[in-house]
Amino acid sequence: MLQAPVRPNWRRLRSTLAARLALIVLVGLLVAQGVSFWLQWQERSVAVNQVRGVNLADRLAPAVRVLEASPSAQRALALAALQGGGVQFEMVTADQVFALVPRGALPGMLSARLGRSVDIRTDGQGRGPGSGQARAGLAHRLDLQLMDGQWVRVSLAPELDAQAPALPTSLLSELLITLGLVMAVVVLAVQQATRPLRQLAQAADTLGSDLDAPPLPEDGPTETRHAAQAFNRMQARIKRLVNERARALAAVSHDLRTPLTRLRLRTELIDDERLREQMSKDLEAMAAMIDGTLAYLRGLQANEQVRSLDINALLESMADDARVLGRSIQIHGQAQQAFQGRLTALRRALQNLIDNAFKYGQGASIRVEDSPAMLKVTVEDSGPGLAAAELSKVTEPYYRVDSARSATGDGVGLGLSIVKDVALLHNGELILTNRPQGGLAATLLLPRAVTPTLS
Amino acid sequence: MEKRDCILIVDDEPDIRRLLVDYLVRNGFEALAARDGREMWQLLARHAVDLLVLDLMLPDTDGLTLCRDLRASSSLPVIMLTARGEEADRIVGIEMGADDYLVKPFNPRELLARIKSILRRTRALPPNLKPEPVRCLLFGGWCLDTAERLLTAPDGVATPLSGAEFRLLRILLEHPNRVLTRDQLTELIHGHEAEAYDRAIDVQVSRLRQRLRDDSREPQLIKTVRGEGYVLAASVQASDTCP
Repeated sequence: MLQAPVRPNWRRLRSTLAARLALIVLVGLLVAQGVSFWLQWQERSVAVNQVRGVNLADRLAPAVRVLEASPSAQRALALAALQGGGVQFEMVTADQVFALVPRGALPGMLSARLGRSVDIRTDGQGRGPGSGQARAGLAHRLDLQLMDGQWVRVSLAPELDAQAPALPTSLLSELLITLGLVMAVVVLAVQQATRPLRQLAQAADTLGSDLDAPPLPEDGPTETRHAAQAFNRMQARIKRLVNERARALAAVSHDLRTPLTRLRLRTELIDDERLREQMSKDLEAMAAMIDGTLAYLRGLQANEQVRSLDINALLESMADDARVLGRSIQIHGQAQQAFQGRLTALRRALQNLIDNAFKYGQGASIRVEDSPAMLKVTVEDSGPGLAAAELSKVTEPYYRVDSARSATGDGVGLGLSIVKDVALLHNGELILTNRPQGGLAATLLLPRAVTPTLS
Repeated sequence: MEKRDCILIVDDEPDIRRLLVDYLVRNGFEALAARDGREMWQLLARHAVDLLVLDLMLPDTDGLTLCRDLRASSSLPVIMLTARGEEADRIVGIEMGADDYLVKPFNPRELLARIKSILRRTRALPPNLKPEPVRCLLFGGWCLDTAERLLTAPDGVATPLSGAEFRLLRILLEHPNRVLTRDQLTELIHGHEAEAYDRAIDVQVSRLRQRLRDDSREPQLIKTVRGEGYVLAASVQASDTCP
């Protein structure tokens, strides 16, 4: 039987295709089993009734004959002699006779055995012997009219008219075992049949993060094969599109470098120092956009090798470089041991977080918390933080907060999406929260236990 | 009036050539320009050039090949320019013997600073001790990759260095077992005279010792020479890659 293991899962279970198919097959099976069981039961009842009726008729016919053959004076004796074996006989007067004519085969059988029609009445308790309807402990009673008009009441002991023999337990357990076996086969078959679908879903998920995932195997039943082929064609198309877009963007960014270099050199010819500084600032911003875009398009260097890194040295060297630019960064806590990771990717992620902290939050403070399972690096600033609605959006590529936060107007909105990608590359995550005392906290969660996926 | 340093610019963009020449001349250098490899060799044959600024993308040959060919016959300092900001390019450039690497669009003042710094480094020493550009320096089980600016510990742990830490360590490694005074170190790293009682170098040395897991009370690698300065006490080997 398909029993839901736990209630909350029931809904989810019911919603899977495998469960639905299994349920359909199971309901069909149960109906079929039920029908055949019912038919068998009917057959059995009829047979039992027949046997019962025959039995009773065989017992009653000689008794009737004996009673009819004995003169009325000796009937009491004859009655006494007939008692027993679960049947009792007694005389009744015509006004005590039951009103109902029984249905069923008994009257016919009795008439056949006696060679004449017999008038039989019943009190309506039960529907005749062998119908399985007699109530426990209640005698089943019949009135018979002898040839001379005398009525005799026959009381059948309940055991004689008990239900048809209970179903043998062996039959029930056989049914259950059959059901269980069929069920197991059905579940396996359904699993097998829906596996390609699960593979398809998995492939679609992988495609989201890895365009270069290997294509789906194009085998199995026709529909599956077609779905896999269609999926592979789609993957190839998406890959082409993304690559073309990246190439176009890279070409534009690249070609911008030469005119920008010329402009930079030309600004050096400007005597007005204020103007020169302003132009130089704009050029810096443009160069930073180009670099950011190209860095993002190059994607994460998934091919960068994983190696043991001294995270403390990494953070302190970055803080040291920041100090040269006149920024101050505090580092609290430290990593207890080397971390297995990708240096360039991690450095870029941390640099983006630190740059943001300075751009929006006037200063950065880094907190390192280490455990054997997880390395946590949090970069905090004391700026305005982010609106709740922005928290989830800022990690999307090209998303820019247009508010006082980006008064500087530089950047292309790729910084945090790169950080998020770097976190994912290390099987970790990036968590952004507003600090209760104001400012933003960006936490890189980097699990230690598993080595980063080598894609 | 001392002789001005002569810089040769090799770039296929006429505007950039012209602007760079103007800029360098205004900042006290003598400057020449070549549009491709052929012109570069001609000018090098005719003039005493002190430093080469070489664009990576040239019409006839690529800058990397030129740089390699040049290194085969001379130790002329080279700064590479490129429009591709790839990390890999920088590493290949340094491997091919470039002393430094700038990505376009660079800030002209940044180029000026790099030119001065490289000339200082190569001038500060007598010709026989001029450091050959090498990719990796091995010492006491450690390895400094000058292209990646990365220090690798004997146990294989990658130890990133800040710009200042890297420059200090490289200078110490280029003069092993020679005592360098604070003034010399400051001059080589920052290009200006050390202020009296300037302790910045001391702070950087102690940070570098920390990176090298060198006990500051009993340093094994960077030793203090009382009243004089610091010395790197280890033998240094050049290598193409870090182990």
